[in-house]
Amino acid sequence: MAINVKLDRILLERGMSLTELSERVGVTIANLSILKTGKAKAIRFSTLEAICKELDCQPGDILSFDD
Amino acid sequence: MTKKNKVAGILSVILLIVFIISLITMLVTGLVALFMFIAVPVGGFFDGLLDGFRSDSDSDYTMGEFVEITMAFITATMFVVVSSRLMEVLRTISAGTPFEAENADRFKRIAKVIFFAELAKLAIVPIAFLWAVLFGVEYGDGGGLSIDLTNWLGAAVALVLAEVFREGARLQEEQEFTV
Repeated sequence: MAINVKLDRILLERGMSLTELSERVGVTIANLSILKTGKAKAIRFSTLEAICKELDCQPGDILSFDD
Repeated sequence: MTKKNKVAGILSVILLIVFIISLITMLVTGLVALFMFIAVPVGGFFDGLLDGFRSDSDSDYTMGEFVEITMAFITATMFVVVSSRLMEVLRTISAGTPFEAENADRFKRIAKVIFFAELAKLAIVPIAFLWAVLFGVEYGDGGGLSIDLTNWLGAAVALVLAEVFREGARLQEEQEFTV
């Protein structure tokens, strides 16, 4: 897929685990795992907003586009 | 029990009854068709082959009657396959997972079975008639050509449902992978 998810890098930079992020944003670990491994087919704005708020970053820091 | 599960449960029971009746009909008509195939004077070298299996009263049957029984056998077989596939679909509905690719395949198979069964029923009449003419066998009154538009429509509906379930399965997968 042309959209890359860089969630693991951001989590590493923030020193936060996937479990902790899951608890903070209210999304299951299974769903965050799907997002982290690039298997997700879509992401809701509400999820993106919650993740960005908790990780103090921009959507572009999590998602990138490869041509 | 939810209303959806209740309807699926009632339909399952009805389909099970249809399945059992169709299965019995299929076996009976299949045996009768086999018996009639031996009994009916089919002409040509077959008569020589089958003479040993016949009694004097067997010649009462005509080719037309054999065709009628064979058509009943084909219809019963079609009902057996269709009802068993529909029961599998209902099981997935009861389990709460109706939109899966397997259900789309099941509906496609139902459409194929109806299509080929109707095609076989259409083909058997001219073949048997031609056979009777070629070998000088009495065809009789029964076993005429009839086109059942309801069944053809049923095949079309099953094909449409197959596409609906395929699209449903795709949407379900997309929904499951939406974070």
